[in-house]
Amino acid sequence: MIQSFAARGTVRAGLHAVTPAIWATLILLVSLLAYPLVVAIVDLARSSAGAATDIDAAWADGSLVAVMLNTAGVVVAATLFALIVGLGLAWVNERTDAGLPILGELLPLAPLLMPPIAGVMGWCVLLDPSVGYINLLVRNALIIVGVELSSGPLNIYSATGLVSVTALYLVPYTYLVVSAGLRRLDPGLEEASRIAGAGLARTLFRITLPSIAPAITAAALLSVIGGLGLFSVPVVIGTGARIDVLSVYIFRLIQNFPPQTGFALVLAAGMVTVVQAVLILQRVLVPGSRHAAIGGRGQRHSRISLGRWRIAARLITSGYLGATAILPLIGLIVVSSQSFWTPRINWRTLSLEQYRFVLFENGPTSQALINSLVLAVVAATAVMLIAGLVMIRTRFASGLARYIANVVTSLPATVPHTVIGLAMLLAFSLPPFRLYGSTAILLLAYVVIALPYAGQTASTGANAIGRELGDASRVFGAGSTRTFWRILLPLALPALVAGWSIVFIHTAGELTASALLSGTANPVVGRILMDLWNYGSFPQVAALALVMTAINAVFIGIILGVGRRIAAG
Amino acid sequence: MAETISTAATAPPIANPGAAAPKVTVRQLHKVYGPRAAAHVALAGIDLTVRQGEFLVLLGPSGCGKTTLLRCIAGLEQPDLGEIEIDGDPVFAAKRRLYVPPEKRHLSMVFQSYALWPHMRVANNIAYPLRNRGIAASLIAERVNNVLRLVGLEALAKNYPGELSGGQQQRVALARAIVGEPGLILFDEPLSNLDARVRDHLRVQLLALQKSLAFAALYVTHDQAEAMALADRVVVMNQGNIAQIGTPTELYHRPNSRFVAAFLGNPNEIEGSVIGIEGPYHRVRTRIGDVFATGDRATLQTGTAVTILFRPEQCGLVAEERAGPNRFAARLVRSQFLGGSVEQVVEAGGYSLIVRTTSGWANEPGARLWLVIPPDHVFAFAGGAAT
Repeated sequence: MIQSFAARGTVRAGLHAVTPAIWATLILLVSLLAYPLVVAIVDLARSSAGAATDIDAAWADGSLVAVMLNTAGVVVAATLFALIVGLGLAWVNERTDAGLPILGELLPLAPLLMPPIAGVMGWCVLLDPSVGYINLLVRNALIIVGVELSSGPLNIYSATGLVSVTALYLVPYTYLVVSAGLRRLDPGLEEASRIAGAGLARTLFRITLPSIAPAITAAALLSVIGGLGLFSVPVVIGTGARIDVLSVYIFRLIQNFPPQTGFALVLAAGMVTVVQAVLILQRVLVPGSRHAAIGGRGQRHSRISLGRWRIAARLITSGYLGATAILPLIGLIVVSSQSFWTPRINWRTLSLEQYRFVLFENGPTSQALINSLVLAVVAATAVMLIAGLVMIRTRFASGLARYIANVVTSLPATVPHTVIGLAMLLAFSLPPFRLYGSTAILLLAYVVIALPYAGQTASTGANAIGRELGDASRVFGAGSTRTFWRILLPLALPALVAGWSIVFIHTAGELTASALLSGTANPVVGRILMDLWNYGSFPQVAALALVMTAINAVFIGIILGVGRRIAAG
Repeated sequence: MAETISTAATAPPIANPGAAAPKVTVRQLHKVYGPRAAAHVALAGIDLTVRQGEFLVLLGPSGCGKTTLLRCIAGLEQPDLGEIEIDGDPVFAAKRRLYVPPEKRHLSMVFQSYALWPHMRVANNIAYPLRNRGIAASLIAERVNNVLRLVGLEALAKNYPGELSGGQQQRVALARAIVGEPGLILFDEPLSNLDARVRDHLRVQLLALQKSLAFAALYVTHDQAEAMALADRVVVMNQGNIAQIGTPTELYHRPNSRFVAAFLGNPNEIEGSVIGIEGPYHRVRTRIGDVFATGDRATLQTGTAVTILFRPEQCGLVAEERAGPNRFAARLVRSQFLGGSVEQVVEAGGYSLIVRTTSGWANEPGARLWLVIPPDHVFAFAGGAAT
């Protein structure tokens, strides 16, 4: 017995050996993450003296305190809002007869339709206090009943507006986590409660919600992390409302002349600390074992009948879809067809002139479009290939390679994108790289940001492949490389294509890191949209945003198609 | 065209056909899973030989190590200690750190999950082993057609595996396993996912193929009926060890341990102690009376506590009292009609015993009957009854 233990591990290099190519890829990924981190920490230490004076000044004039309070307020309020909406949508969709089959697929994808900043601008077009189209409609309706207003009644440039739109972008986080929790929960638990005499509401609050408490906690924490890092919403609405939050504040510190890099780094470090604290909190709060996933898989259970509330429930769920995707889209379409944003829509001057302008005549916008699309294709292809290779090849491999693969693909998810942008800026702008103003620095940042999505989809795809499929290929004479190319990669391909599309969409419309890394030399769509908005070139913003929307729609179609194929096959 | 395959396979494809080298030789194979503290011993020093052209079945309860042994021979798992030779060539030797990967062992395998590649058509699944050997395309097409005809699936060559029934999928897996004319095919519970009728049908087909193509088969199953039906020899495994090797009849009639006797057919068990040896039999005193049983002379002596085992189908129930050995008073508790047989539960000496007969429906519960057990079919082993 002792002998057999001693001999273990001697002939290890066998069936699932990690090839040098895989090790090289892993080392490259580790360096891509570790180098900026190290540079940022070194910079932080070096510039702490300068940062201290900046911080003292900001502390003295109260702006720092205001930013902290604003950030906390917006994130907490928006998370609560998103939690209620996400819970409601998930419950209706997973547990009641008001669920629409397509809704479950569309809900998480709806916010992807437009680049985030374009969706926010769409809402501004609708709810601007003086020229917002919804406000115009309301004012015209009020005139009929004898009330005349010169502006309002709704104002998106307010705390309410900021919180509401932020919440809209956090709902996908809460919905996905909570609905997954509900799906794993055995409906028998609820049925038992109903049989024991508890009503619908009592069952919901005494059985269903407590049972998925870990999912709810996880959803809340995920939403807090997402809210902290959100940039596109506060940079448009918060700026208009003069409410600065942390992500925008850090951006301004870098854009200022001279850039207050030290100060920005201190705040970024604070942000990362808060996020890590939240993640540790999650581990403490959600022990996991007590609420272990419970049976019910694949069984069809009767859904709760909502009776006459069914239509109301469906209206609310469709309402959310409309709010995230359709309404802002309509607003942008109207603006893009005018030569300037005007409260009076002149139906005779409707034209496609703006599209011609942003696509062909205006150098920066067409260049940004080309850059964004090329970067998105390259980043998505590179990151999915890397993730696919690493995840498939390390699935059964030795502990270390697998551990590294999991760490490098999950770590960037816990770092706000503003911080990633800042770290990349510091690490790669200076010698020896001198990449500032190049598309290469954007590509590196996009790859880091996309690693979690890519790793997630690739490992889902890899794990779905039955172990014996690879074994059979080996037994029938194919080596590990041939098995990868002929069997494993083709089988993982649908998941990789879906992952590719998601990475493409996120990258093509990325703003948070791009705001720091993109400039006139390397324009990208997100940055250009923000700049055009600030210059007041609204119709051009709308036209460019809609071009991106059309492209995104194609890829969402691909994701849906692939999703069906995975489900069917 | 079927003859082409069978003739080709009858002549062993190995280099030295004259030598009587065994197909597979396994020596002192050890395999331990898990960390040192919570180690699970899957193989505790296995010695085994698979002869050329023989159908060898590895039988045992789940977790006994039979699948691990099969996967070690395939090269899909690495043992910790020991040696494996195929056709006399070492493919694993722990001492020399020799490990030949599965693709270089020139064997084939049928998997429990079928393991057909869902993105390839049936014909391409079957062609895969040949393509990996770089055989000419025209020859591949011909060979694929031949084996498809052999398993009766010519019409489905262009289908995807997902469009086939379970039985059809397993026949494709079988076709893929024989297309390369291997001298050895490993089977990992290939029929366990199929329903009973398809399973019986495929079992017959598999055996016919094995006899006509004359490959050596190493077949893992936990189903003793399947093992009996297929095997030239059965290897019964228990907790990483080989409990007994023998032909099905040897195992059935001469189990060497209580484990083997209990695993092949659910026998009745009665505790007792040896009170003497009379002729070829041990006389065992039990609560139902004195039972004559077959046991090991060397270990079972007068006074030894034993458990006697006998199978439901090897005893009978009679109504009239008659003199003779191994006749015991019993009371019928209930009868269950099972179609081909009747399962009767009787009470004797406080034990609830099962008797399977082909007739005997006539008796009412509560009837006084006589339980008859031929002494040759009663096995005595040392130790108390299992719980």
